[in-house]
Amino acid sequence: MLKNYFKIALRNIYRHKGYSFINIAGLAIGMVCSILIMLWVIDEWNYDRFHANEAYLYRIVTEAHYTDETSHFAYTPAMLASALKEEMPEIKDACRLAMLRQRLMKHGQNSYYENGLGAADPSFFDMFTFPFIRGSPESAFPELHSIVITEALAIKYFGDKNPIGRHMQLDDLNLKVTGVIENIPQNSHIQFDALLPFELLISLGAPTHWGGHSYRTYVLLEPGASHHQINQTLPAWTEAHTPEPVIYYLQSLTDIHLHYDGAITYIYIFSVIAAFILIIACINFMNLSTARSATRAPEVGLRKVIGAGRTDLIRQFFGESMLLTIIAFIMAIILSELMLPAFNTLTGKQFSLSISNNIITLSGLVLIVLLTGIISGSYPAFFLSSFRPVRILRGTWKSGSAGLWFRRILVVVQFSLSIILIVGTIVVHNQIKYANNKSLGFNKEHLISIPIRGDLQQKYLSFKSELLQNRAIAGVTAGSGMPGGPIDGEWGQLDWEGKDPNLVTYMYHYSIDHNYIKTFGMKIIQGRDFSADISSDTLNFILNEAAVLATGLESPVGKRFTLLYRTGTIIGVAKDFHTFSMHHDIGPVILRMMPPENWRYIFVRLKPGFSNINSAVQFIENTWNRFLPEFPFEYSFLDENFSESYSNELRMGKILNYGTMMGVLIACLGIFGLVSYAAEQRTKEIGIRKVLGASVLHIVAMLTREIIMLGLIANLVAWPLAWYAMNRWLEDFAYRINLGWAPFVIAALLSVAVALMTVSYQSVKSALSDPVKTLRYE
Amino acid sequence: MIKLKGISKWYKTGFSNTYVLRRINIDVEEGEFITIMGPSGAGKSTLLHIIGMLDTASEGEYYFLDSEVHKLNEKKRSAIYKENLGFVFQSYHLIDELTVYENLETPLLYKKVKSGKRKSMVCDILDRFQIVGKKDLFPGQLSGGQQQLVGVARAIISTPRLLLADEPTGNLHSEQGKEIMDIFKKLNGEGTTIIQVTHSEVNASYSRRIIKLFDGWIKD
Repeated sequence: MLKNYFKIALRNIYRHKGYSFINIAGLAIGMVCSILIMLWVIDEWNYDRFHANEAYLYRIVTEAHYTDETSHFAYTPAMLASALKEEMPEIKDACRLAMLRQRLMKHGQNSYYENGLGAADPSFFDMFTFPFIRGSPESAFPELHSIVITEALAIKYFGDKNPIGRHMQLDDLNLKVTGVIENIPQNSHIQFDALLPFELLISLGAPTHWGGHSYRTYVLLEPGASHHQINQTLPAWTEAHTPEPVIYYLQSLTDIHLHYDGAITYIYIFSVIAAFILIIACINFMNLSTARSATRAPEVGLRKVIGAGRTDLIRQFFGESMLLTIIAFIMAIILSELMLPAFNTLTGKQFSLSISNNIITLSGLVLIVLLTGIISGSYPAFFLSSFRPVRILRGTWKSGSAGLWFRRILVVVQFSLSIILIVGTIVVHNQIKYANNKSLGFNKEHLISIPIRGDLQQKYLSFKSELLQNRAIAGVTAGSGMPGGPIDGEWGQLDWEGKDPNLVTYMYHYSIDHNYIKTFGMKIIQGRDFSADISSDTLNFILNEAAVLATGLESPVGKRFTLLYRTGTIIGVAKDFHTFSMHHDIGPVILRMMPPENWRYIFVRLKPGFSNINSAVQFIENTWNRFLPEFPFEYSFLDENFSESYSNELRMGKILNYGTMMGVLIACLGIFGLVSYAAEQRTKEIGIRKVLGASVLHIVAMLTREIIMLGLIANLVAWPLAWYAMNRWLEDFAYRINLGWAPFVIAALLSVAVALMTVSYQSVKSALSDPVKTLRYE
Repeated sequence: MIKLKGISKWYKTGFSNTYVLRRINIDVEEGEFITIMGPSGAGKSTLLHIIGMLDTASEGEYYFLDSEVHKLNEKKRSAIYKENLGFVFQSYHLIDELTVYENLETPLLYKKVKSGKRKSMVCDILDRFQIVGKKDLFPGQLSGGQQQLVGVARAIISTPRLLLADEPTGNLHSEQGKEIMDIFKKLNGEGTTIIQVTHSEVNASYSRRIIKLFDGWIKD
């Protein structure tokens, strides 16, 4: 029986090559999209799940209560870990992790800046699963000056030599390599290239009081302990330990990436895109199968007459769609394999399709095949098997109208999904463009930031004057941070004239050189800018509008202000500028003029009209090399830093682009098949109409009218859904575009135009056909 | 074997009913060879389809062997049908995608006959109809007469007790028609009950009883 079905299916595929091609190609493309997106989704879902203790690991999050708002961050005081472990019996183990700023690392001739430096307690390696290649978790940090490095870092500095026992220099520290661990999986929220003992950090003077929220704390619970219960006791516990307005709570390891970092949103979005494309492909399959039922009807009738029950037929048609699905699947696997490198570049991940890779991927793939086969096979199976044999055998069965309404509905669904994808693509594109182009309140173009190394702070003035020799350079300044980059924050040591003593607020601050505001192109709207000639300005402050609003001061200029034990006067108000991406509101920022040892970056403004940026950068590098020959030169452009904060959206935009193209392509394939089929069915009608004098235009209009109608209906269905979805997405941005009508109208025009183009070939072809030929066979 | 009591069939057309069959009473004994004749539109094929359980009557009772067919659901009807009936059509109705051999095998598959037995049954029938040489050809590669031969072979492969034929020779020239009718006669001689619908007096002469239909009524 199976063999019989199989044979019929294969012969049918072969006999109707065009139809089979449309079906298989559509399904295969749909599957490729689903497979690739599934790889991404599984990878995201598996974030941080590779630790053996995964279920018992939690991160401590600080919930800080300011007067107007509550803020959550994963930084905690250094004392928290040991206090928790000692006082809470449910907590089996705890450790601290600090991420260090960039430092110069050296071994022999090899020296590089390393960003991935961290420091942790020895228990870190017991709690988390980072397997050792050399050394062991128990002997990770035998002495204060130890370092555990990843395999990649070991190769970078030591080549194929065994690094254990060898020494590395980290700035002025001399450290002995005591362990080599496997490279950190990409889907881990903890990322580092090397770890030092946390005790070393403390011996170097790291703050250990309860107010310094600088370190991450992780805890391992006893099996059976409930983190909900602990979270209920923690507020009281916190209050007993720290005077700060904070509460600590436990957050499960797997929640960090999905919920805290918001990956779940993109998992949903991408899953929906994949589902849309797959549904569009399945609809093609159903539509073409039912449209083609006229050809299959006699066979169905006949099989019933010679003894087939309905279940036999349902089984047969399911079998056929499964076979087509499997063929499409094999093609999809081959195509996915070919497209994997491009997809890896797009997502910045390293996916592979090898079966041994993991069982989830495999079962996911099987699920896709089964789902596609069942969804696309179900309607044809039940529809075709329900034919009454008498009507078919008698010839009273009309093929054209069978399932026509269902087919129309499916086409509308297909169109609607495509339109939603098109609207999504346009909106995402527009929002990214808006975010990149919106005025930030300063001029981010042609502004270079250079991290300060070595003793450059002492040589700053001569370095600056050398740079200014070049006529491409318009200005040079320095500061502790920059918009789109690092920024300091403070809630404790803040005071001003007339401050409500109960008010707890959080403000950001930069320590800057006197010409920072001018060089960045920020505007002073009240008072004055800092001046190098007024020595008392080192105690004075400039606030941005948001900060003024936070203080509640009516006329801030001239008021007393205190930040971190330094009291001075507010001398000016700066117009608001964006310190973060468009996801966030403009924060309250305090600017203060501070001496060079507080600076971490030098900023160079290039002249706007100067076109040869490369030679200017080259000039800066040459100057750097004369001043600091032992330190490599590094720089970045501020506008690029800002663009990087939209990498999630950019990636989504790209995937949406491709997804939409694929979805629309598949839908077009399907509509092409349907119209070809309809034209074939109506050959006789077209012939008669032509004999009766219908013009070519008339016939083309007749054949295309329905598709246009369906397209318009689909727009009405899709618009509210797209509107709702895109509004939800835009809510993530504090600064966002208005949806407006443009994306919808563009999507409507585009969808109908593409459909028309698809349909026109067949319609014109049949409209031009010779009626004598088409009618002769009747 | 068959007893039809007051069988009527009508279709709704607008507000009135269009009758195809009116109060038909027929008794068929096992081993009979009956011809149903009548002009086009007299209801011959409908009657045959009702007897063949492909269609249901609007009214009346139908007894087949011991079963009250008019009271059975589709599943049970098709079970009786599968066991006892074979059908031959005017236009040969073979499955185009299957070879002669596979076309003959299909009804046995639906009856869940074991593979070994299936093979010998198909070979027997190929032998009997002298079409062994054609077994790997597709229907499109056969002449009309050969296709109908396969159609008959398929109808009787599982030795039905009742063979129904709707204009079995309608699309064939006289010599091929004769060949088919000779087979019918031989089958009837071996005990198969046959009911055929035909316009042809020659074909009717092979049967032992003729039922004439006119406008849905049986004309005596």
